[in-house]
Amino acid sequence: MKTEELFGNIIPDSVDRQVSFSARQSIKEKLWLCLYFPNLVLEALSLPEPELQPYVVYEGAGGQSMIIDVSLAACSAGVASGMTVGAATVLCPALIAVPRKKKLEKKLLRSVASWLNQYSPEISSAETSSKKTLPKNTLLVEIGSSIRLFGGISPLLYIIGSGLNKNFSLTSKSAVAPTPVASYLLAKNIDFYLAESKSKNKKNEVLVIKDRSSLRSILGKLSIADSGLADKAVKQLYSSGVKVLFDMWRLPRAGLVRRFGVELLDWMDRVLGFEEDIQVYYRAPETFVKELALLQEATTTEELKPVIYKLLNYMIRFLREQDAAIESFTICLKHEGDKISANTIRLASVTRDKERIKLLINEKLGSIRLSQPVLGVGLQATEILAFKAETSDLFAFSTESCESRIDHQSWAQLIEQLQNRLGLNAVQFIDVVSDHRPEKAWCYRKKKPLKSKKLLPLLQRPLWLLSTPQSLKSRDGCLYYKTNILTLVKGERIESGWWDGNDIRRDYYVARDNFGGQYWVYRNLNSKTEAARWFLHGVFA
Amino acid sequence: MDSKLENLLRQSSALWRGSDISSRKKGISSGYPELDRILPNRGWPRNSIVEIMVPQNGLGELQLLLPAMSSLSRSKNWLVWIEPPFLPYAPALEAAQIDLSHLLVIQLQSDGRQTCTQDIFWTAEKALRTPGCGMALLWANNIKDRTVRRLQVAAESGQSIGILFRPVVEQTSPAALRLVLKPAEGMLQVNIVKARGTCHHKSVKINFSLN
Repeated sequence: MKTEELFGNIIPDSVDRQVSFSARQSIKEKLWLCLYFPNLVLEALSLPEPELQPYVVYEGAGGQSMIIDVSLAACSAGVASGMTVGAATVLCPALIAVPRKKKLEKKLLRSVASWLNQYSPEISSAETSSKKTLPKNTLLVEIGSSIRLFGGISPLLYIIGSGLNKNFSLTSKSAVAPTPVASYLLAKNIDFYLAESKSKNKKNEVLVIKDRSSLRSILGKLSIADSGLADKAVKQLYSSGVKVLFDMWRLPRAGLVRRFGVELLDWMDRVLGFEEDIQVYYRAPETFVKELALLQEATTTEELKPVIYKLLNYMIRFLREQDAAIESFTICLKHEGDKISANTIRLASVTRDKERIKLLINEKLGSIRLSQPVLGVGLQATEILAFKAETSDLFAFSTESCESRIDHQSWAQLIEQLQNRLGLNAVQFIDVVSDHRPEKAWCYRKKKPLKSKKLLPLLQRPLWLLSTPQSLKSRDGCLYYKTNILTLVKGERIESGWWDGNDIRRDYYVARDNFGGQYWVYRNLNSKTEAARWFLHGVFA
Repeated sequence: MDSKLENLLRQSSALWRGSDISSRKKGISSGYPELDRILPNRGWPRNSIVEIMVPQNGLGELQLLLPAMSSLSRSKNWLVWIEPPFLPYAPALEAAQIDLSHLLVIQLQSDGRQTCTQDIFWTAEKALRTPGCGMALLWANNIKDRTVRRLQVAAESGQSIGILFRPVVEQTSPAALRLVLKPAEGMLQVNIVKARGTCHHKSVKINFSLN
């Protein structure tokens, strides 16, 4: 009864899927590059002389320990995966057995994924996919959307392949196909396919299948045992006469569902692309933190430079991979007894320009005094921001020459350097504010003030302002500054600010002394006492 | 022989010759014709340090520089004020047509740390060297001759004017141009005590009218 129901539901549904698939196909064709690392378990351990030493990696403890990966030397001695360590030692007495370290494998895959991020934003691994459909030693990279950027599929594959060789010591097999599972099957069985083809350069060959319709015949040749299906399903299929995948393609879908369950049909649809195989993508860590220990205690900042530059290289690489940039970062110096001194460097704008950051690091190191020797150095960037390529302001500088644009850049850098050495508050712009109260008619600004403001028509103002007005003595009707008598020249009443509680009522005068000094003084009309009525507020310099 | 020697001497940039004065580059006009007439470059010399010795603040020492600052500012040159004794008052600067987006105020005390004279000179040197710097104004006491010489070199490489305000009249200094300001009957008397390339020292009285 139940199977009947299933039967009734599945068939029309899958027909629907085929139709909807062909409609979707024209919108965006995804292309998956599968990187398969057959020796990940061994290579993740980064043992010395991996080519020559007979290594085996085992899992489990005691008598149950089982070999899961063998090095080339061990393999030629007859050791194979699935043996117990004891049995293998009999075959090869020089055997070096190493326990498996899953953490290292994950870490290595993650670093490869993070490196691959610069070629595609869509990368998935066993760790990211929720269904755990991917084997642990593979990475899937969606390259369909990156092909145009890198000038075609073969340049892209070449860049990835050579970069992988350069940066990681990993044996990899790769293939490209329109569906994730198909690309995995091709990559895993690439030797089988390459043996068939007549190509001479077999070592770096990447199998590329772009066309969905050809998947059926290409994958059809694969033996069921190599299909990556569960052992139980493989045995069942084998006993019913299905030897290669092609045999399975030919079976009626209704019958397959009845005998092997929906999962198999689902798998088949995903392989051939009748059903979309949704992947969960790898997401890069959101902060950059890296530390290096010094081989020798450093007592001068000069000794720290090479280490910090090395860390900087890591950070720039990280940022490039994430297509990100930073606005500030911290140099942490580790001292004895886990003491850490942190030095934060702020950048005037979001950047990942290595030379610019290097300059600031040098400036900062110049101003650091080391009170105790340094044992380790760390570089941290906690706020990772989206990278925007530096564009020259189209409108702000349209009337200016190219030269002044360069000036503008060098000034932005100078301000950055000054702020880092002298402190953020030491370097400021000043700006006018539309307010009649003299002390509120201006303000500091961290960034360039904008031009063209509506200004209040003001009378003569002094170039110097005192931050707090200085009380002046008046005696016998004369006003004194220091010991000089001031003569008042011109007056102006300023009465404002009743709305915010800081209201003033003052009579301002330009005052002159006998020695050529000119001052801006006022009489506080709100003052109750006669003694504190006159103040010096500015100097005409 | 003579012409060969002449050529060799001409190539050497370290050699300064008195006869070069007339062919000198014109400086930035001070905005006061009577002062321009007596300045060796007929204006403030670009690429040097000008030392202004002023016994007290508020004699008109900024007024003296204001027209030049405003013309530099209009041509998008930067102005840097380092350690001014008071707050530079933005409305007055704006009224004098100084572009506030190209004016930097450096105040080391405002950060709560002790003023380090080394930082002041480092800042001045950096600013003077940066291309596009019009004028860097520096208020500092106890500045050593060696530092002035360094700043002089920085100003030459950055084609900028460095103004050094000093409260006391020093006898000697490596600055290219040295002025002493004195009040005189409601006017400002400018005495040139040293000008590279001339040996006659002139003085002029300037009248600032406050309207």
